Amino acid sequence: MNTKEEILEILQDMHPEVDDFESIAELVHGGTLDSLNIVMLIAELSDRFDIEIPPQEVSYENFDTVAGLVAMVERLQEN
Amino acid sequence: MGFTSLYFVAFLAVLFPLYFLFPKKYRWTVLLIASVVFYLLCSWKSIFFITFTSVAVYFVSIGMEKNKAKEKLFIEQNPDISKDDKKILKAKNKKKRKALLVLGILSIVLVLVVMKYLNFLIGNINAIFDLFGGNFKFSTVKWLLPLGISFYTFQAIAYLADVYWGKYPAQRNFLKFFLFMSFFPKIMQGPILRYNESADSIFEGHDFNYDDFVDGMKRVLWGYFKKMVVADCLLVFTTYAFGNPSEISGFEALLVILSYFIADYCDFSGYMDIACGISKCMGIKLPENFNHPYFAVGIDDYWRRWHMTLGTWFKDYIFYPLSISKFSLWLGKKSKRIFKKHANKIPAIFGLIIVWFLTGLWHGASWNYILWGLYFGAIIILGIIFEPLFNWLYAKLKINKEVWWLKVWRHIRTLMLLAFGKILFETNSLAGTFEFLSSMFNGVNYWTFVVLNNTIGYPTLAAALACAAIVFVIDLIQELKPQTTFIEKLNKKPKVVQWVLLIILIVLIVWLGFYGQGLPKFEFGYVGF
Repeated sequence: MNTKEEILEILQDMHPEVDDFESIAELVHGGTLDSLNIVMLIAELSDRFDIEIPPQEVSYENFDTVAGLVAMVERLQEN
Repeated sequence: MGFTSLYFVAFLAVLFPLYFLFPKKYRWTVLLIASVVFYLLCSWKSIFFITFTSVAVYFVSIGMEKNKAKEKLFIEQNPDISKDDKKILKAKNKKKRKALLVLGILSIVLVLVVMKYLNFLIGNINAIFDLFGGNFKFSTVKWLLPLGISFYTFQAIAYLADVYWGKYPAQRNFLKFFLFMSFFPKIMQGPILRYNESADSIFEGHDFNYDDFVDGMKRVLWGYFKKMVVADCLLVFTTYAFGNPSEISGFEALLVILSYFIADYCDFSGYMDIACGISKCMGIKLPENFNHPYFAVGIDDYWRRWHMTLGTWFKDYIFYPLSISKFSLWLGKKSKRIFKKHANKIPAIFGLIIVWFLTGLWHGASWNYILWGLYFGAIIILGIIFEPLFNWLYAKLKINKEVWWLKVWRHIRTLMLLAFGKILFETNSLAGTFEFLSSMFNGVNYWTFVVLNNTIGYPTLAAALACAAIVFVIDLIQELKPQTTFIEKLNKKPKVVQWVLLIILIVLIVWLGFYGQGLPKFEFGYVGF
């Protein structure tokens, strides 16, 4: 399973009612992900990808889209 | 010199022409001088504290940035440095910057703690001594609470954290930084500014724009209307009633709660209208602090709409750093054995408990405020815990969550929970809250309004409530049609209608407001926080 598929799996567990996360342009702005979801997501991402997500990474740029999440995880994995 | 004094009107009458007459490049200096003058006129003794905080934050932020620049330069000058050495160098410098950040935050928080919370700490230490039968007591101190200290300290912490995180470069011009800290419209009770969102707008010299100026003045008038015509009248009644709960009975208590809901909102949001309006007159945009909070469908929703800049500050600088800290994530992992799949909520719940404890403490240096904060925290946490159960129940009973009667119930439930919170806040103790609540049922004659008669009387109450109804209708329109602001909606009406409405507003402020009534004057509620 690649990074994107794993992230989609986590999101799907969190919000089974959402059909297609990739089609949502604003996950945070649009209200799909609230601050509780973001913390749960960070806990899961840290665990699965063995990365540390510092507070400054919590931004719309990183969390508003699946592409942003994938890019953040891959960047933090490289560091 | 408060916002509602005639001196302040004269102050603005001098400031506006001066601002636009100055060369564009130096208009920020007019704002700086105006902010210092305003601060000195309001509380000249407080200037030392805001200067100390600004100086400390300025040098710490520059120090962090210099360290980062030095690190970058070293790496550029030594391209052959190994990956491991680079990692060690970066970690070493990050440690130094973190030490500077901690030093900066501790120094300014220490000022806040000493000036605002020292008596609270002394009281608690004395209580502990009492508990163990000691005779020794520390005496409490009597010194001033620096004007706006809670607001500018929070603003400074956000600035330090953002510079540390590399979100934006530190401001090198101290005078500009001091203006950001002391900008007069927001100094007394917010909004809490973010440097990257507001500083440029304050520093930039704006051209005079007739539409902006008129829109700004309309908003200022709207703020005065809310504060002087509605809030100040009702506060006479509610302040007395909350201070003397044994004197009220029956429906009068309900009337007090309703009046306090209105007064609290009109007081705080009225200030924001004046602050944003004054800034708009000069082309400066301040962040909004209110989004029709009484239309919220839950306590969490309410806190996203009331004092929004405080809520987002707590979210970004306390909630996230705590909830995603190593300790918090470890706590979540460890609790999996007990809470199974629900353990993933533990880090956020841990963060929420601290946030709401601090929110209570921020509102006042006493246990009842902490209790008040934790009360809201508990409601939000219980909502998170029981959400799966409610969702299961809705599914089992085949109830659509968006059905109209559930929506109405959510509004009513939110208002009832808020009412308890507001009574807790105003009566200063849990015992006082229950005394107030029980007063609803202990009156012999449920229709006697003794306190009302002895304070503002029926005609004034009727006038204030009628004006509050105007505020309600306008907020309802905004809630239903949020695409444009109310002023934008008003601007689409014919000019005659606009001017007639504005003249009515001015007449109401003069006639029914503070100057026309002779009722006691109330400081804005959040001044002194």
